Amino acid sequence: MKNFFQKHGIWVIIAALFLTAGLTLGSAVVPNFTAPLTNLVGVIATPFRNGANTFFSWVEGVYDYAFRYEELQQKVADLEQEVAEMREENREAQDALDENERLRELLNLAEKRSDMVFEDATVTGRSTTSWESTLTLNKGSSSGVAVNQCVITETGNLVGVVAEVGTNWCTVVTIIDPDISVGAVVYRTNDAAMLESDLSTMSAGKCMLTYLSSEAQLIAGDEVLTSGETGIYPSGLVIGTVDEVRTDAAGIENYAIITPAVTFSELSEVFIVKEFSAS
Amino acid sequence: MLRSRGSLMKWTLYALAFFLLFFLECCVFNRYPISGGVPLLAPLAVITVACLEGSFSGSLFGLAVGILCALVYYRIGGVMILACTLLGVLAGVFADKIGRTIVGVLVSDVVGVVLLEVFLVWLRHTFYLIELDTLLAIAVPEGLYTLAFALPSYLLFWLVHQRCQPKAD
Repeated sequence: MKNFFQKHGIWVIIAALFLTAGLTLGSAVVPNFTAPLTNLVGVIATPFRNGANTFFSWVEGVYDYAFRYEELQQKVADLEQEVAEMREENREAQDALDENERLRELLNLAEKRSDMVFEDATVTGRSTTSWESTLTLNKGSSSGVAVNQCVITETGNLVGVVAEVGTNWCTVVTIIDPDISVGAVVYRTNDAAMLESDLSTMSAGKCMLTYLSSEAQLIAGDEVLTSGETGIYPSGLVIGTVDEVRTDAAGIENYAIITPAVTFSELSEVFIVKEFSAS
Repeated sequence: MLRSRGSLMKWTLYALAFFLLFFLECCVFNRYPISGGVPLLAPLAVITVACLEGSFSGSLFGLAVGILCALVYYRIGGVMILACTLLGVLAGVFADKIGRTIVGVLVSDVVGVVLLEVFLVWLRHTFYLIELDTLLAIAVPEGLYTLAFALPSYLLFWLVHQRCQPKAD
């Protein structure tokens, strides 16, 4: 320790303290305080992320083919069964016009939602720490991407919202991240609520439906959609399904655990909604 | 510190070794979290280098790594700058006491990672009012996952250290 102070190490600690305080206060007072530097690091890192993503996707593909062939075959059989069941359900839905309308909206989003302007993007990176659930995409401000634009899958399932934008990259906070807050509606009962998350639900890959009315009668499997009330998210996007309904620690309010419709670890292509009609 | 060409060479190699670990952390291991945890290889690199090079060099290395972490890690702010600098100082001092052997460095890694996780948990518990159970459920696997890389990290930086050791004659 004496050696450290003999070499004027105290100045290193003082510099660290100043930088820490400066960055923390700066970020609190000035929005996007470190944005130029973060953008520079992101621009430099993007080719490496893209390269690593391509390489490891290829390796995972080879691994799946070599070691999980039977499992994949089973999965294909299950999916075929699922498709057959969905076709059956679809036929049954013919006599229910509203139901049919809803299914069309869910399955054929682009056709139904001509008000939306999409930007397709590839997932090139995932959360860098255990304390957040984010995705890095390969599109940024040069493609017209901006903060607060929402991100969906090709079937209209909500992935999250753009939180940071660089020139050729952006960071998306997913719907299981503790920062998220989305106006939601339960499709079957039409109950309005708020979609949120915390660290414990995030680590389980789930999120929560809060501010439920005391009369809400939710059951497992109920589909949850965006309400579109905040103006950030278009209405009618699929968030997920109700897992179970719980009561908070005080025993006053009910909240529901939601399983997202999206499997984040398997996402590779997504769509950024650059424009949509709020009506 | 960078008085001679040898020093410059050594710190360039340390930087390259660090970027290799950082690339693995940010582009590879974050694809495969264990119990929701991904390893923190950057602070581990700081501890290892500080053990091998001493507290002063370790603190400067920690300062540089901390700035990079503050820019790359999402929603961590400037805290990593102070955390990495202090880790560099403490690891260097600790290694002075217990020796710069492989055992000494690995023990320093364990102590350093535990201290860092405790610090980050305390910070989130105090300022973000997150429950301890929830924080520990993520911090413990994260810390263990990080420590799984203590030996490879040591070997990587030890190779650089040995390669750039000044000749006795």
